Amino acid sequence: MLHITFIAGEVGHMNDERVVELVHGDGGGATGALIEEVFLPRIGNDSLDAGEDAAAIAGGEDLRFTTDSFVVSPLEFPGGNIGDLAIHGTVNDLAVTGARPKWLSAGFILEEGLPFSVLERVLDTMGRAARRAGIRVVAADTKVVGRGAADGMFINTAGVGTVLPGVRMGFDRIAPGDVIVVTGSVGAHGIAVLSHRAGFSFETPVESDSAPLWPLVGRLLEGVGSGLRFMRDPTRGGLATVLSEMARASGVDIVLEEEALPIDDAIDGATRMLGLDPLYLACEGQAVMVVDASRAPRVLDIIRSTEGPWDPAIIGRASAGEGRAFMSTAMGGTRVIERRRGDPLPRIC
Amino acid sequence: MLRVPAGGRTLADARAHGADVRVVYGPADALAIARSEPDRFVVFLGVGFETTAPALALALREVEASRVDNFFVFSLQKTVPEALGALFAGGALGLDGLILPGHVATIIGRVAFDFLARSPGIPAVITGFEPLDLLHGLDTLVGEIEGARTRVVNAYPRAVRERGNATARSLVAEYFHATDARWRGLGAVPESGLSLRAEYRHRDAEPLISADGPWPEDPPGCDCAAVLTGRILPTECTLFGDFCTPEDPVGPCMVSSEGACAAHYLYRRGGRAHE
Repeated sequence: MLHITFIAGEVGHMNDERVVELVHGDGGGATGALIEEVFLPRIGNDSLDAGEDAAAIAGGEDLRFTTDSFVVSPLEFPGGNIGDLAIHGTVNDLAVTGARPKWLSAGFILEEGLPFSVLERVLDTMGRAARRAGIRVVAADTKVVGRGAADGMFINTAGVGTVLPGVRMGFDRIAPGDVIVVTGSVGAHGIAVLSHRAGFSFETPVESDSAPLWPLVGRLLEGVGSGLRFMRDPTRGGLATVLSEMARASGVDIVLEEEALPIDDAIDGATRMLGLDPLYLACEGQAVMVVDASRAPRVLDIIRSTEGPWDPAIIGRASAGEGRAFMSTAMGGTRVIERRRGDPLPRIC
Repeated sequence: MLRVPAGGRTLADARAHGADVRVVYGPADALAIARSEPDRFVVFLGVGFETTAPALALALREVEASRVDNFFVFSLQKTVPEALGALFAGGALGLDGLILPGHVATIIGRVAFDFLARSPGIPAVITGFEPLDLLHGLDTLVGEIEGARTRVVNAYPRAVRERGNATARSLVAEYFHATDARWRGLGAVPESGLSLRAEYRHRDAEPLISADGPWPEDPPGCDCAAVLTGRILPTECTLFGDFCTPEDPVGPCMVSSEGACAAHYLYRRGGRAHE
């Protein structure tokens, strides 16, 4: 159970003016509404409206373009820091659309007083992560703001990638009979960040799964080609939000088997202790994919033989229905899986 | 708690408008905040039942011993047996049996529910929360109903003792006393809340935050009170599904996934839940 604490002090007069709330960053329904009602009507176009993790853009090759901002607190956490997260977040958004990550820009907003030692550690990690994923940092910018105007540092990255020939993944390719594969245990990043946050600190051996999904996705595309129907990385909204959006957008039902979900013992323990649902915890190095059932064994083999924080499993299937996501529970019940609603754990990435 | 509306507003609204509202796992974390930010008043919102009260009492003991002078409690804690009594005092509900809360029973013990055997005089079973516990509790309750027995059965014996946890109860009694409290749907119920004892009045946040004035009324049309007392189904509320949804709740029953209205919304047939 979560409790509430007020810190008494200056409180702005509440009026009816609509303001941005933390819930608008939950990566679920409130974020979706903000994008659809406030952003898209003003800055939208064909590419942005498509709502893909990375947009198709015109160019000499089949290009994908994406951007992501990183505000994680604390800056350093077990298994990573904001630097490798900023690389992996953008690399993974490109990878799940079938694009080989090529070029990346990075914008840094540094708060006055940030220790150089922290900045250097973050940049070292960032450089290593970029090299490992095969992406080049080709443009960067730095701004410094006064104390209190940013929490240590924020990073924005944007990335461009080239789609492997013949790749076509999308919601419209998901069909009844397909199986759902997840690359590994869900929830590691969420638990790792939480364990080092003020007010939540607890002992856990769980480290973030922050990792690049490339070259893994490249190997999968080479190995099974069009057998891969759709792919996404379950970040802020967790596996539940991805599955719910998948079902909604494709019009088929997604049925998850609770007992098939790979959940690391330490993550399982931490979520039970904290009363959190691992289906809604962020991952930063995992992908959930819809796969032609006949190619699923090959997909599992490729993931197992690629280096990374992976422990793949077939966790469910697509079936004819009305575009809803369910989970068959270990007790034989059926639970409806919804998009994330609200967020007690902001600034996870 | 952050999203529960009261008087048309929520704590999340207040936070977005500048209030410093933080989510913590328990009173000990709030106490840590008070220690690390000694220049600020820290008010712990004590919402909960018999289960959470002992942890708050422990934090108060520590606060008193270590003289942290910026830690306060806004106690809205409630007790279950008094509310059950008030529920049945309101008239027949057409119930065949009761599932009683296992974790509350770990503190107050099985005997604290014995009064139910006299009035309303229907079978009652103390049940745990894991799936097998719930099935066992239901199975036991069906047996009691079929056998027409009116007693309180403990189907959660690995956690619940006949007289509960005496240490926890005496700790709570050291810092709190029973007081009248308001319940949504039941109104004011005598002796159903826990207020700070007079000797710990200096820890009470109520005078600090001037929580005077009338309590917020339920929003017009919101039938949470009737839902909570079992007089109507959530779907019978005129706001249900059209004006009140989990994304934009009007009443508290629609807020958390454990709320009766939110559960009905999610699991109703017909597919409207995803529109």
